[in-house]
Amino acid sequence: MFISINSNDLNLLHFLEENISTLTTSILLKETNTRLLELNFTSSKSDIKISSLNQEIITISKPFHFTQILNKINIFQQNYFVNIGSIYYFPFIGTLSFNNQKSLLSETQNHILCRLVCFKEGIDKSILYKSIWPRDKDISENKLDTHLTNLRSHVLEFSNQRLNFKTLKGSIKLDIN
Amino acid sequence: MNKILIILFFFISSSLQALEFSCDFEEVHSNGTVNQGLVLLKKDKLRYEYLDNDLFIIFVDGAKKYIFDKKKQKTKNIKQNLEAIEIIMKLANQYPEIKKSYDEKGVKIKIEDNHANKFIKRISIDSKRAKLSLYLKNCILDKPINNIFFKFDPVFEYN
Repeated sequence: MFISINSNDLNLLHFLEENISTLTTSILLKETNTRLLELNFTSSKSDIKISSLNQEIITISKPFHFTQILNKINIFQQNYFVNIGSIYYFPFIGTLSFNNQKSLLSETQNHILCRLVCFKEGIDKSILYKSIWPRDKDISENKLDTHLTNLRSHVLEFSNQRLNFKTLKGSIKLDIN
Repeated sequence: MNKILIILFFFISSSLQALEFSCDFEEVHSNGTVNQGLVLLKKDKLRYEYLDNDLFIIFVDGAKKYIFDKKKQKTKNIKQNLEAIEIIMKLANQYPEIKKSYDEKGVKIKIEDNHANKFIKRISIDSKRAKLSLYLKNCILDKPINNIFFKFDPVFEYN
């Protein structure tokens, strides 16, 4: 899952940047025009307050084990969702929620949807392909298209809503509104 | 301390010494108990940490093992009979051409791979003392882990 982090304490920020990317599968992004979980770490002498839009602030007292902060980040990730039309998409858990019903996406479906949601301007299809199947020597556009079709069918079947993909110059974009 | 877990730690640490990895883990015991945590391995060092603050962190440093009690905030050395561990280590040296199952002196171990990254997905242990499955998830295999996370006395804390 993609996240961005910020802090008033540069040492803390560097520490987090280095170790989140080493110890977790979360991907830190600094790019603008993305749709992702933004976490702010406000450090004081005695504690760190972690905040994010529409979520409760979590405080960790100093000193702390690094895993404590990973656990708290995990809570924010689990609660984070993006609206796709009237569907609630939880990228960290890989579920869709609609009309109080839940649907679990496959690992590949979630991988694709997570990237399409994150990159507002779209993502190059070859980059998307390589991120899913890094061991493939050749890129099979049909393979990716099949998974995109399956994802769209899954969402349509679950919510009766159609994902609107737009492809332009090798880039694919999801119109989520 | 569960001897089976000790076997497991040494199995992982001895079989994957060339690797450096971080994984979330989930222990599923036959009595229904589920424990989650984070396991880090770097050369002959291992950190096996339960997320539950009532539990502990186990450190392996070469041939020595330590346990850090999160509640008491104290580290102590662990001395266990390592006979079974030695057997497992001998088998584990075969990694990566590792057998998918072992049966040594009443301890049955089965290994399942994750097809996506070719890494271990599940280790099942079946013996008279315990039955459990250890699932490794969200593994990071190719990034160097900071040595501070293997410090056990005192355990590293961010201040």
